[in-house]
Amino acid sequence: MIYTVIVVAASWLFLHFNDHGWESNRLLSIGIGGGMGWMMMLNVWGVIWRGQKKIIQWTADNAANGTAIPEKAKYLARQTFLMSRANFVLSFPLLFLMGASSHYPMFGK
Amino acid sequence: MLRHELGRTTIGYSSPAGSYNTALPQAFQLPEEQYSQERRGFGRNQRRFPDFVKTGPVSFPSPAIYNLQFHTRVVELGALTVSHINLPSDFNTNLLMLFRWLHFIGGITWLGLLYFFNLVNVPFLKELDPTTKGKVLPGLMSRALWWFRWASVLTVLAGLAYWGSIVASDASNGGASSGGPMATFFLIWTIAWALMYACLIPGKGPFNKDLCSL
Repeated sequence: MIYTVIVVAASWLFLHFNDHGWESNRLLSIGIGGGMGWMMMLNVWGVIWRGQKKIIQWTADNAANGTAIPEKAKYLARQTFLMSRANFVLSFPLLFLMGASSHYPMFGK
Repeated sequence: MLRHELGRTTIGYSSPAGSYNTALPQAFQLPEEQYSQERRGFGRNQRRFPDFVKTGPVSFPSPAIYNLQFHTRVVELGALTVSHINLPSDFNTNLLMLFRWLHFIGGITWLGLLYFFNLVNVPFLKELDPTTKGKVLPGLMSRALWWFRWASVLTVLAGLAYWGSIVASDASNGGASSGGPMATFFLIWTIAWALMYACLIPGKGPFNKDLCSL
């Protein structure tokens, strides 16, 4: 829910600052859908991969040498799960806006 | 004459016997005698064309001739090689199409794996006992995440390259600079990401985690 509010607010801001009349539907639609894609890529590299590579390493060590898996693994697993689910949800409006950019003129010209 | 009227909507050749193969490459030309035999129904068991050449009736998609069907020999491959593919020749069009193509491929790889993680992998890994998990998780996740994270980079870079050209052409039509949309894009969406990150920190975010993760 909270990230719906964040994304809607960001979309509104983007439309607000790019409202000179010369911006095309393609620019605006991809500007919002692509923004979601940009957030998703930051999630992938900034959160999901950063957390998962530790989890993978700890799990592999645990299986090979019996090293205990640190407590932090639970926290990271929860965080990467939340971000992964956020990306899952974001992908639907993203794909809609990508299609809309060429086939569904809803913004601008 | 007919072909001239149809322009690019033509998808095959329809011609009276005798002239049907004049525009085809050497490899597909047949002697008139063989063609006539084929029309009369002789030699049906004998292949007169290479395997990859399809023959049969042809209809036209153009509304003006919507109802016409030409029951005559059509050499689809020959027709394609002669005049029915018009590749845009300017560099920029081809480059942008390449970006778009890579964007689709990268995007499908990325989102396909994302859907796999959310729909299949998360519930599946929960069911595994620790020993099996120790064997499955490292090999599965390191491979899947490699494609996942690099596909995301390919998708975003190819998409930005394409979007950049849209922004540039819009801006030049409007007598403005493309700096505005570009700057607001990165500024707004990076801030949005930071806010989302803050609000999704498990247990510590400014919002209750269950509220955030609804």
